Amino acid sequence: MFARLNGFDRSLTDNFMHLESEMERLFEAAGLRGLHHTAKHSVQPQMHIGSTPEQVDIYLPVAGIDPKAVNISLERNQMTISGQRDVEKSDSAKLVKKERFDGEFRYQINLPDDVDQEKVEASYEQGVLHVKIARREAAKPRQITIQ
Amino acid sequence: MSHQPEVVAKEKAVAEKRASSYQSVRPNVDIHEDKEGITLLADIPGVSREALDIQIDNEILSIDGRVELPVPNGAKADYAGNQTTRFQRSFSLSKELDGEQVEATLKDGVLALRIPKRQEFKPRKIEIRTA
Repeated sequence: MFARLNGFDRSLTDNFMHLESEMERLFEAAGLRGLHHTAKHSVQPQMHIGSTPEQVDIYLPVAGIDPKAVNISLERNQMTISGQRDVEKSDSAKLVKKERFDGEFRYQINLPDDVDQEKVEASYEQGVLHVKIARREAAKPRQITIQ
Repeated sequence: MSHQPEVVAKEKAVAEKRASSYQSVRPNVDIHEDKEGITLLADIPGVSREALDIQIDNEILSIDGRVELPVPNGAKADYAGNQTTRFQRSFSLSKELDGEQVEATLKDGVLALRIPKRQEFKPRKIEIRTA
């Protein structure tokens, strides 16, 4: 299979794709189709955390949940986000492909020490949970003027 | 009557790979099949209606959506799990599906595509006439 990868007329990306399809073929030949499939699908969007001197923002992609069923708690600087997702089921339809996550999820995030427990806001839009935590005044950097 | 065609929407590997880049992610999908057609559900959190492009060309269905997070200006990324910017995936539709009649809805980051079977492939009940 590697002989075919040596062609100079192929770009690096093409080679990579070719390798991927070769892998697919090998996995399939070995009867491991499902396994390879799982590996390919394990890369899913993950949490994104960003901070400014004023606040910390957490973005958690969780499509198709009921935001009321999400629990967000903050203890000191440790935030826990948990909830459940129930994917659509049907008695009359046959499930031909099933990849979407179904069940409970739980995340624990360590935040900076200066987060304000009283100022936490959460919203849910387009399948992304956004939690905004303000940081305490005193912790913000102050500009000292020299007299 | 339990004889139903097996897979009605097969992944189109070639088209998908051509369009993919390092930053693109294949959305996870569920596909339900019933007598009238199929329903394809795809998780694409963070993609708005405006940033989503669904195309059917030559029986190839392509989904392409850009993720836009409203990150505040000047924010420092403390932890970026993976910098997803795009969801991309393609499927080749089997002949019995009617690509002209696709209905798409997007709610809470879940894209639902309803693709009916062509009339001639839907089950028909044959009336038996009394002699």
